Amino acid sequence: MDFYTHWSLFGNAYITCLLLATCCAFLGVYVVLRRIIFFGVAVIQLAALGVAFSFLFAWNPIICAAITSFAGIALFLKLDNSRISKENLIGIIYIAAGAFSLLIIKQSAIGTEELKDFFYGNILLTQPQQIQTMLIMFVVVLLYHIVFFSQTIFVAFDRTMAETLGVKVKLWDALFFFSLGGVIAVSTKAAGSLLVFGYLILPATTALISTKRVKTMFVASIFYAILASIVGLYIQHQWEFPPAQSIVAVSTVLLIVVSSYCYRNFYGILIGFCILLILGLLLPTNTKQNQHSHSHSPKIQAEIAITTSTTFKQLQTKKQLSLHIENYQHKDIVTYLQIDISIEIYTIKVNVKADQSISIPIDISPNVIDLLDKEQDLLLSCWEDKEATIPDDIVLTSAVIKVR
Amino acid sequence: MNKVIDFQKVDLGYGKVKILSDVNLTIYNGEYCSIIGTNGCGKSTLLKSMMSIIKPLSGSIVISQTKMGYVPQNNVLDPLFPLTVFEVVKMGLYGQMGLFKHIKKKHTSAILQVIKDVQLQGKENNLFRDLSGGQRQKVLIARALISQPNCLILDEPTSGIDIPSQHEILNLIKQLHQEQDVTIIMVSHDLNIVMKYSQSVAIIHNGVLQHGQKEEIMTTEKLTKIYNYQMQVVNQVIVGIN
Repeated sequence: MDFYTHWSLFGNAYITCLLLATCCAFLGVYVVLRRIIFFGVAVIQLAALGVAFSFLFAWNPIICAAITSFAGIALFLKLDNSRISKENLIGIIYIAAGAFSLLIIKQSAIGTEELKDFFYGNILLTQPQQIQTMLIMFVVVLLYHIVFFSQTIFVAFDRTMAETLGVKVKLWDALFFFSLGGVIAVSTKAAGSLLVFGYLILPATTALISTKRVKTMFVASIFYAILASIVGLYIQHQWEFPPAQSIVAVSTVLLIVVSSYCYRNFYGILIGFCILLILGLLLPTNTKQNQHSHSHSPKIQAEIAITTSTTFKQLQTKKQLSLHIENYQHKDIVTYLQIDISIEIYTIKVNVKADQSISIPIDISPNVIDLLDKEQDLLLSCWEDKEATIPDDIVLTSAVIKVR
Repeated sequence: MNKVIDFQKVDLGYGKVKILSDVNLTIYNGEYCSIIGTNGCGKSTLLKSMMSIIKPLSGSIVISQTKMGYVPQNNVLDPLFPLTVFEVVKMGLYGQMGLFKHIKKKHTSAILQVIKDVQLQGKENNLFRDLSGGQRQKVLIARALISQPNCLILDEPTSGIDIPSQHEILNLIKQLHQEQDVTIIMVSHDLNIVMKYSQSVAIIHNGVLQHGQKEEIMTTEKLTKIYNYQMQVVNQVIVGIN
C-alpha cells in the first residue's frame, strides 16, 4: 500500500502528528529558553499519578491526569523562589509522583498495563475523540500564547523588571505553566512521553541554533517539527519502524545537520549524512522484499462471533477489551487489523510472531458497549501490509475476544 | 523637597527570617544615593522593598507617586534569548500598556530616541546577547528610561565592565541626574565610584542600615570596621592597606 493511500488507515495518526508538532514545538521554544526541560518530565509523572488514581476510583483518566498535573504545578509555583531551587523542586515532584503512582497502581489489576500505555502511547492508535480534545486544547493554548506573547516573553526574560513595572508576574507564570502542563498531559496520553519530549526539545533547540530572532525561532521550531514528522512517518511506513522513535530520530539528525551547518562543522554534517546514508541503504532491501511478498499475498478476512455475554458486563465498567488471536501459525508478520464494532471502526497495527498470540487493548466508548450488550457481532479484518510476508495458505482460524 | 521613598522602623526579610531591622531611610527627589555593604548584607532585599516586590515584616514604607525605573546587573539576564536591542528596550513600555494594546508608531520613535540617548544608535537590530557588557548595561538603562521614570534604581551598574565603559555609564547616570532631575539609587561595591558620584550613602552592616551624607558615612573608621579590612580615605579616594 502506498504512503499516501493510507489516509483512511493512518489519517488520525498523521493529523495527531501535525497537531502535536505545531503545539509542542511552539511551547518547546519557551521550555528551551527558560531552561525548564525537566519540568516536562515531572508533569508526565504527575499525569501518570492521575491515571493511577483514575483506575483506583474508576474516574476519567484525562480529567484525573489534568487535576494531578495542575495540583503539582500549583505546588511548584507556590514553592518557587523559596530556599529550594527550581531543579530541586522539579526533582522532588518527579520522584514523589513516580513513587505514589506505582504504589497506587499496584491496587489495580489492569493499571500497570494502562500506565505503560500512557508512557509509551502509540500514535497509530489515536482515536478521533482524542484528536478533538487535542485540537480544542491546542487552539486555546496557541491563541493565548499569540495574544499574550509580549507578556509571556517579558516575564520569562526578566522577572524582576516585570515585577517593578507592575506586571503580574505570578499570574503570567501560572498561566504559562498550566498551559504547558495541560498540553503535555493531553499529548502524552495520545502519543507517549518520548514523542512529546522529542517535539518539545529537539525542534526548538534546532531553531535556537539556526535563527537569530525570537519570533523566527517559534516559526522555525514548528517548521522543523513538521518536517521531522513527515519524514519520520514516511520512514516508519517504509521500514516498519515505530513512529515515535522514527520522528525523534529524524529530529535528531536534523539537529545534527543544522547545527553543524550553522557552526560550520564539517564533521557534524558528515555524521548527519552518514546516518541518512545508512538508513538509505536499508530502504531498497526492504522495498524489494515487500514488493515480492505483496504479489503473493492475498487479503485475509475473518468474522469473529462474540462468545459469552459475561464478557460485556465487564466491558461496561472497564471500557476496554483485549483481542486475542490464536492459531496464527506462520512467519513473523506485520499487519493491520481493523475491528469494526457496529458503529465504530478501530484500526490497529500489530506485530504477530510465529506461534504466538497477541493481546491488543482497545478503548471502547460507552455507546458501543451498549451495542455490545445486544450481542452484536464484531468483524475483524486483517490487511497484510506490503512489508508483510504472509503465505497464500494462511487462514485466521479462530479469535477470541476477552476482557483483560 | 519631596520625599520619594520613606522607610520608618521597617523590618525586612523572608518568612520568619529577618534580614534588616529597624530601617529608617528617607530619600528625597533629585537625590543621588548609593547603597553599600558586604555581600549578602541585604542590599537586594532593600532594593526589592523599594520596588514593592517584597512587603515589610513590620513598619511603614511610603513610596510617593513616582515612576520607578529598574536597571538590573547585565549578567543576570539569560543570553539564550535572541532578543534585539529594540525588543529589550520595548519591554520597558509593557507596564504602561494594557493587555491587548500593542506598540504604536509614537512608541517606536520613543524607543529609537532613547537608544540614541544612550549612544547606541545603529545597534537597534543587534542581538542584546552579542553586545559588550558596557553596551548591554546601556541598553538596560535605556529600557528603564523609556517609561520616563522619576527615580532610577540601579543594581551594580558597573559590575564586570571595563574602566572606560564604567565611566561612560556613570556619566550617563550623572547626566540624567543633573539634567533631568532623576532620583538615583545605586547599589555598588566600588567605593571610589560611590565617593565620586553620590551625594548620600546608605551602608548596611549586621542587618542595620545607616544613612547620611557621603562625608559622614565614608570615613576611614566606619569602612575599616564594616569591611573588616584596613582602609583609608585620603582626599575622597579610598585605599586599602595591607
